Amino acid sequence: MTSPAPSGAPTASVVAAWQLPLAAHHAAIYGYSLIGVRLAEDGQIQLARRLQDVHRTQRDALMSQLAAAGVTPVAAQASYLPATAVTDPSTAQRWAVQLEQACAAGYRYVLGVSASDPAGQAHAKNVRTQAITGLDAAALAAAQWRALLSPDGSTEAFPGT
Amino acid sequence: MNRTISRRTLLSRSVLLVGAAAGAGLGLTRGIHHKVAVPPPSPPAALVTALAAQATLVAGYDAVLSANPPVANAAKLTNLRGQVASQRDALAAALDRYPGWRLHPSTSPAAVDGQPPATPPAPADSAALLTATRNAADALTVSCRDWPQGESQAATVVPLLGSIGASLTTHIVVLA
Repeated sequence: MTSPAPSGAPTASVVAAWQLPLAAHHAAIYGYSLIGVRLAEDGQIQLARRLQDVHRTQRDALMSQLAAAGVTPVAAQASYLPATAVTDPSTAQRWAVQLEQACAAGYRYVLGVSASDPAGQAHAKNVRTQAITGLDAAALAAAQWRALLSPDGSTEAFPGT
Repeated sequence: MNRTISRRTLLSRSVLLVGAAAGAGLGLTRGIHHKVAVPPPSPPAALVTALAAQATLVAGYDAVLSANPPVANAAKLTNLRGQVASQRDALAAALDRYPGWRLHPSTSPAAVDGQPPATPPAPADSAALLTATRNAADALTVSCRDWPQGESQAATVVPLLGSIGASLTTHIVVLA
């Protein structure tokens, strides 16, 4: 049982919720290394590198945040397996979409947890602002990869679901 | 004249008398409760506004897609239109979690089938559609961020608003 946090301080449930996007960032950082190998066009390889850097930055921020709250950040796994084998640019792009969708789902989860967080409204605003930023970034990245697979249908109605 | 009252009549009148006395006693000792029609609780304005914005966007897509000559990127716009319509329906479903919101004085009785009453004029061209999408995304971000802590439907509504806002952010890239 967790004791209620003082007003403005993050509650245990919200702190724990950040572990989900963090785990997704770990997977994306690993995944983009393999994705980059399977991509053919230079522009796409650059995109993979750039997005990998973005995930590193977000991972580091979340790890610092969790450590500051006295929580051990979830560690990266030794390896991550895609749902289907990554053998060419098309399968690499599909895995990139899945990795970004997982990040979006993590941030959407944080939004849901923050909604019932008993810490004050000001704290909730900070949590949600950060989660919205992460959700937007993941949705945009997924759309970039999806545009290569399906130019007329790069977006989705409910990112993170 | 000798008028006699039968036992049966006496008994039935006694029962009636006792019943009437009991009824009068209850009426004097218990308060009278009037059933008064109470208006439904106020619907969340941010959700109603978001629904109106999505409905306006759908109307805007319809206007742009029906233009003559047809727009070059009709396939993309048709896809976006479908997503915005799904978002409108999801927002209407979220509002339905607030019983009687359609009957609230702040919403017109004309609001039916998820269509809000007073929608702003629909965007008539692609540029106006882009602006309206940008405005809707910004408004959703603010609503998601500022949604009252611990509100009864917050756990459902906050992620929904954030998700739709993120979707519209990707739409902006397509429309730009």
